[in-house]
Parts: sequence; structure tokens; C-alpha cells
Amino acid sequence: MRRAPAILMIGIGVLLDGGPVSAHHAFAAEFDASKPIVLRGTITKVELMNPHSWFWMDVKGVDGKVVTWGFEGGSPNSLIRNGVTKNTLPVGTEIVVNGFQAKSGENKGVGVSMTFPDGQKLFFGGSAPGAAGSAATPGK
Amino acid sequence: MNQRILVSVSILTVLISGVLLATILVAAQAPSGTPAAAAAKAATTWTLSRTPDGQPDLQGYWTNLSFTPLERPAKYAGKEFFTDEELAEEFKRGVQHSYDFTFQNSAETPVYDGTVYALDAWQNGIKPNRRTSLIKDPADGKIPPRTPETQKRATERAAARRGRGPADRPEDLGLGVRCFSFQNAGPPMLPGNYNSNYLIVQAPGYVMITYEWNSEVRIIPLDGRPPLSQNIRRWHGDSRGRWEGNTLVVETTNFRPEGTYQDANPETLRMVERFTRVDADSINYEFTVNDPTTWTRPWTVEVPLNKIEGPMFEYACSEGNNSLINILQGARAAEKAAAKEAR
Amino acid sequence: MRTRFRDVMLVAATAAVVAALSLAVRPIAGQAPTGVQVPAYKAARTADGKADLNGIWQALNTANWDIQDHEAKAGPHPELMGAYGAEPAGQGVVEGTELPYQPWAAARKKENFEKRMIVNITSDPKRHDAGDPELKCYRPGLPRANYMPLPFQIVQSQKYIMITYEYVHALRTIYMEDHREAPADSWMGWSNGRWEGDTLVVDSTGFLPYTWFDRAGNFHSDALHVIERYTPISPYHLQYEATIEDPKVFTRPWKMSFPLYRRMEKNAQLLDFNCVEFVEDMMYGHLRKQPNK
Repeated sequence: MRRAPAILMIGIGVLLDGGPVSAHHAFAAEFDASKPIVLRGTITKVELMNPHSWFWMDVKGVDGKVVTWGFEGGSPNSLIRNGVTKNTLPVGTEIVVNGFQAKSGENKGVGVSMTFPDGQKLFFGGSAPGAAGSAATPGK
Repeated sequence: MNQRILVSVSILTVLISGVLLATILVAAQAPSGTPAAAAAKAATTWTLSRTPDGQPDLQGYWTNLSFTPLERPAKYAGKEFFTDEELAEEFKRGVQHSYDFTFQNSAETPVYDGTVYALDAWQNGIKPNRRTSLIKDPADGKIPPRTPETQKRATERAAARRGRGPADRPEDLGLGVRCFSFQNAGPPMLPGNYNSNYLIVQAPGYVMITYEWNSEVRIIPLDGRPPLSQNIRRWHGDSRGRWEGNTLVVETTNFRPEGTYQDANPETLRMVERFTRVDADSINYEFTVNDPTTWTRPWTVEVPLNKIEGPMFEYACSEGNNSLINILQGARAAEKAAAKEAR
Repeated sequence: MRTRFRDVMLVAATAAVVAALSLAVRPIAGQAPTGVQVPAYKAARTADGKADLNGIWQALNTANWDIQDHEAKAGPHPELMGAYGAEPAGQGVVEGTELPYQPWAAARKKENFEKRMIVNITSDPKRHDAGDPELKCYRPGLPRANYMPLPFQIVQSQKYIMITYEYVHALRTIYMEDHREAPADSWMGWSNGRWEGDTLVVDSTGFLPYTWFDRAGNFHSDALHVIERYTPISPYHLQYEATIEDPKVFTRPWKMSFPLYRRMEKNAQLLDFNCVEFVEDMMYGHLRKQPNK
């Protein structure tokens, strides 16, 4: 069901052109909703940077060849306020990514869900309090 | 061993419920945003502290996050403030919505889960606001009508844009996506979805406000110097401040056309902001938009600033702007694919 | 003549005093290795009793072109830029003539200079592999920001000393309390500050490896550690010193120093040099639907 932008705006606050929400709309311009990906790989580089963090990983294909993929995440600023540092996610960590590939066709994408192999989210799990029908387990 | 950040739902629920309850209880004495609020706050034992050189102390990290829209929604026409019950409901809805955003939209707007990065509003010090609109004047909570001259400007701009795709050139994208400038640095200081944070630092003769997006900077002199000539325009205008009692009044002119709020007239726009520290954890911030060639009358907006813990990490926007490249490359790839199919 | 003799004696006496003071254990304001004899200076105080560094300051040297001794030379594309783009001469700000590069790094510096005009914008860190970041309007890092040919402003409060450089409004927060390690790496580094008498000592780490020290290609790694000293030596000058340590690139620490001059114009203020708009075409023009249109 297509949601009209007006509905998106309610409850989020003031949204102005050129501000953060137009950046959200820009996601559809950057990543292809018709190209979902699921990958498992090991972290080679964590860029805690703005406007978006980027996570680079080695992914071994079925042919045994190792390919580099990069996934976009969120701004790290609030993570840092909550105690995350550049050492929190070490190189070599195995992660699973569910995301969408970049429209450019490169080995880049947005990491919609990035978890450790056991399903634990990379950083903050849980759900908003009182969330209707939300998963009750932390980190899932 | 990987360091995994865990936030258990039960702890979060208790924390948020606690904050909500406490805020509602305090608000019950005097809803924030009403004239009684100032009196109620004065009744507590807080006293205004001053900087070593005697300025009222505005220093610290502040957020202006708010679920309150700029203009009053039609369903609240004629209603300036929520009741306790409505306020709790509205806040709860806002919290839920900010949590759900990713999951509702990932199919159409492939985006990372903001909650995982602690970017949701409820994870960043948002407080309930009893106002139904941030606009407090005019009384209907709406932006006043625009002058005919302004509407003509908007039509011309739309005409110039016609026939262009969404990403033919960088200029077709927003100033934020291009990392030129983020308007919410102010004036005016309006809330964004996340990283809606400011650091205020004061020194003799200056108030400095930095904004988290792109680490934007405003340095406001208080020495009564004259404004710049119209030959120098700035991305956030050029500000001059003064203290009126315990309120910092900042007047800003000299806006660049691209950086002018609400597409007002950069020649005639004058923004006036007022900052008043009202207790240990809040600043009453309001701004008045004066532009007689754009609006039929001035209008005033109130945006509470609430204290948060820092730090604000460097936001080097252009240096890390992978998005702009991916957007342009994506558009070019789509055109190529379409051209191929057409053959 | 008597006047001259008295002047000579005054200078000698001052020199003696300065020499005596230099034997003291703690550094004292005015004790700066400038060429000009500057009388010992006690800086004006802020209301909380610290040396007052508030103001607008600027370096007056050509270190941004080359931090070492350099002759004037043609710049990039002289056929287009003529004298506009030419590089001025300058005496080095580095103490000692040579920079103590490890052998691989000395070669890398030369390569940096040869490739300084390369702009290869990709949506990954490879875009930093070649080219002077200044050309792309990227934040200059440390200590380079202090000798860009544009002013900067120090806004000094108790907990935070803020430095804003006019060049792309590059911002530093110097934490005077609650020192901590850099949580993540940044262009301008993470700065912890303290006072040593009237000298502001700033210890910075957590640097991304992408900035250069100048247009000559002098560079560093993510192991960069910069210790700066800002010392008021007159009402109108700060003496700036920076000790650079980077065990991945250099064989030992090295120092640079130069004066910073107070901008004296009435109503001096920083303006915008938001050069991002001036480089957009250079960086992304090739990605337009119709290139360079």
C-alpha cells in the first residue's frame, strides 16, 4: 500500500525541504527496492561517519571468490552518545545483511537489517515501548 | 568477544514510561507553552546561573526534537493546547511512529533501521509539547497568507524546473543532499528527524551556536556592531545579538537566496530569535519571521529546547557524501537501462 | 652617545631577564622562539582567571603551500592560471630542515605532490587515495587548519574552547574537562585541552588518515598525534607550536612553530568560505545527465 507523504509527516515533526526527511526520500533514488539482497560476510572496515556510516565486508561467493560489499547505515552520532566507539564492531566480525542494492549496480547497498549470525542487531535492539505487536526480545 | 550493545525492552519501557509520567505530572501543574508555564517554573527552586562575564547561562547541549508540526492540523482547528490525556496519546503515537518508520517504508523507501542506530526521537531526549502547533502567532497556528508577488516567484521557479528529471544534475537535489547547508542550523532552529542537536557556548561579547548537521556554526556578536552591507550574504544570514534582561535577542539579515527560510525575499527578510533559560533543562526559544514583501504579516513560532548529554561528533558532510554519488550514478544507470530496452 | 648606550643596556638587560626566565622549570608567556625580541607578557585574563585567547587570528606565512623552505614556482595549469595560480616562496615553519619520513613515506610524499590535482570521486574510501583534500574543499585537519590563508575565531568558555576556521567553517571542540579518548576518527581530530600557565596545550588524536599537512603532499596516517601550544606573547600575537608524532610515517616526532596574528580591523568577523559549492562541478560534473551542462 502506497503511503502518501502527508501521512509520513504526521507525528514526526517539522519537515522542511533540504532537511533530513528529504534525505529519506533520496534513499529510493539511491537504492533499488526491486533488488533485495541477503549476504553473509566478515567486516573489513567500519566507517563511523556522516552523513551515513558505511560497513565494508568480504563476502565469499558460491564459487569461492571473495567479493567486497559495502552497506550504508545510519549516522553514528547518537551511537557515540550512547557509548559506541570505533572499537565496538571489530574487523573480522561475521555479520548477516538484509538490504537493497545500489541502483548504480555496484557492490553497494543499504543495510536495512544488519545482524550478527544469531540475529542480534548490530547496535540497539528492542522496540519502542508499548509498541503494538512488536517483538519482545531485546536485539531482535 | 564482540561488544554487543543491548537495550532490553523492559528497561526501555520503564525508562520511557517514567519520563512520560514525570513529564505529564509536571505538565499537569501548568502545561508547557502557556503563560502559566513561566509562573509555574518560577515557583520551583531553580535560579538562573551566569557565565563568568555575567551573561545568563545558555550553555550546553540542547535538542529541539518535537512531534509538534509547524502548522496546526485541521483536526485541531481552534485548539491551541492538548489536555493531559490528549498529550499522552499524541506523544505515544509519535514515539510509535518514529519506531515504525523503517518497517512501514522499507519496501518503497529502502532505508536502514534508525532504531538500531539510536536515531529515533524517543531515543534522543524528545519531550512532550502541549502545543498543537509550533506557530503561536497568528492565533490560528497557520503561516499567514503570502503576497501575490511571492506566489509569482514560486510559479517562475516551478516553470524553470519543468522538464528536468529528479537527478539530472546535482543542482536538482536539495542543499542538504549536496552538503551545502542545513537550514535547521538556524535561523530558524527548527527540528529535524534526528541529530536535531545544538551546542551553545558563550564568551565575552559572543554567543556561539553549533548544529550537529554538517557541524554548522553561528557566531553571534553582542557588541552592537552594525549589520553587514547587502553585498555580503551568508548561508545562515548574518546575526547580531543583544541581551534584553535575561533574554538573548538575535536579529538576522543578509541571507543568501538559496538559504532563505520558506523561500522568503532575501532582500527584506529579518528573523528575530529570542532565547530565555527557564530552568536547568530548558530554554524557551522563539522566532519571529518578518518579511513584508513575502507575508501579509509577521508570524512567531515557539520551539522548546531541552537539555541532552553530548557530545556532538564531527559531521563532515561533503567529505563523506557517498549518497550524492550513488544517486547520480543510479539515475545514469537507470537511463542507460531504459535506453537499452528501448532498442 | 649616552642614549644609544642606555638603549643597548636596556636591550641587554631585557635579554638577561629573558635568559634567566628561560631557566625556570615552567614555561612563561613571552618565552617564544620568535626572531623579534618580545618583552615578557602576561596575557589579559578572562573573568574566570585564564589567559584570554578569545579573538580572530590568522597565520601570515605560506606553510599551506609547503611547510618546509620553498621557492616561488608556477602552480597547476599555468597556461590558464598565470600568476593567479602561482605559488609564493616561504621559509619553512618546521624546526630543522628535513621531515623525518620513513623511507617508504618519503617516496609517498613525492607521489602525493605529483598526484595532487587528481580528483576521482567514488562512493567509497578510494576517493581519498590520491589528490590534495584541500582541492576538494575537504576539512584541512591539524595542524594545517591553523595556517590556511583565512582567519579563525577562538570562542573560549570554561568547559569548551571552540575554534572555528573560516575555511569551510571547520570546527574544533577542545574539551577542557571530561577528557576522553576519541570515540571515532574524524577530519579535525578529537582534542583534549589543559592550561600550562598561560599556554593552552591541546592534545589531539583520532584522525582520519585523509588530510595533508600542505599542498606539497606532506601527509600522515591514522596514528597521528598532535600536541599544540597556543601562547599569548603580546596583546596581538599568539605563538603557535605543534609537535607531530606518527610512528607509522615518521621515524621520530617533529615540531613546527609560527606566530598567529590578531585580526585588528574594526568589527572583524568570520565570513563564509563554504567552498563545497565551488567544487561541485569538478567533483560530480562527469555524473550529470549531460556532462558539464
